Amino acid sequence: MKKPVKILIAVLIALVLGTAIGVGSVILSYNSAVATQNIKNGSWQTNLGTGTEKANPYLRAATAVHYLLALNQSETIYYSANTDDSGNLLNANNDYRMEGKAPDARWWSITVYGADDFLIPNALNRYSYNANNVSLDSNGKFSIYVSKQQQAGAWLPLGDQKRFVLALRLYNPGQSVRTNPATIELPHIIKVMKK
Amino acid sequence: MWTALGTLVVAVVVHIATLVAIPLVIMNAAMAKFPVNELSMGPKTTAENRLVVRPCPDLVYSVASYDVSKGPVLFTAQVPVDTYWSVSLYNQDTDNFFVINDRQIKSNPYNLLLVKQGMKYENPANAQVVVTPGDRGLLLVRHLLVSDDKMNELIEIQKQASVKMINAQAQASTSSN
Repeated sequence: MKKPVKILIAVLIALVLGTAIGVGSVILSYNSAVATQNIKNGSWQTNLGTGTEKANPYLRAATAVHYLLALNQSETIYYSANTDDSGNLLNANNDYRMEGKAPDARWWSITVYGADDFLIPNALNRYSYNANNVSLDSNGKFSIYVSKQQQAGAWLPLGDQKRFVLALRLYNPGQSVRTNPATIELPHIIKVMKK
Repeated sequence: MWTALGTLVVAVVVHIATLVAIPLVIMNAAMAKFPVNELSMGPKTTAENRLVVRPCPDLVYSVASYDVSKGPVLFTAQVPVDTYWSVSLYNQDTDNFFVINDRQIKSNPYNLLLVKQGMKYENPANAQVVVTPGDRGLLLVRHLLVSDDKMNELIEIQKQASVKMINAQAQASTSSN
């Protein structure tokens, strides 16, 4: 084989293989790269750089894919959970109970999303509970069930999903959240035995 | 060996280019879904709303794709009292570079004037002025829907808001500065 042909083949291999590795490595790495930078609090994670000019390229990519149009942390802090209190991935074939106190924020909500980051279709059009509509017991605690099967009390339906993710939004978070995002009390996510 | 080295160089360049491109491509796709310099009023958020990932079902949104390249853009809104409301601005790489809520505004109705760096403009509405980092981006209004029976009230508030370009002629005379 003549030398120019060998060079051309080598260049083509470098371009094709390099492009595949370059794109593939981003797809495989951006979520995990961001996860290592996240603040963890039990099952919940947050990143105070979301939506800010300080965000690095990996966080910007993750924001675009999962949190497009998120507010910066001066206005809202977003926590997200894809595991339960035991550290196991949330599985829509299981039943879960969220228990907690109202977080320190002007207004807050907990929303369930499908694996595609969109709201889960359901007959009740119920996707969230928030500071205005959740019931608190005499200890100031709420309890919300997350499952496919209807539950008595507060219930977030999982439709026909396999995986799901929970999002906790804290609008105008209080000083305790800003100071201690890793240690403030956030809702527990407990897997419960099916009835 | 040269092939391996070349592959590595291409991989690094493509890796960086892909990272930079992802927010730009996704944001531009989102911007293309909304009218330019015109406020689009969203309905109550449900599972059928799939314009943007992770919508908050407790909020009702109004959105505009802004473009200040040909002139300043004025946002005007009647802000609800004692209910969460905010207007936020995003540039083309997803950064939320400005946000103000109902408790922070200095006047009601609230006026916000978007201008580009170095642009000459008039401000007859005495609007709060924000210099945008680029020519284009998204303006997003969040209205908290406290309960479903407040939806009609909220729609009336939405209708009173607007986004429009102003002083296009003045900008044309300053573009060569």
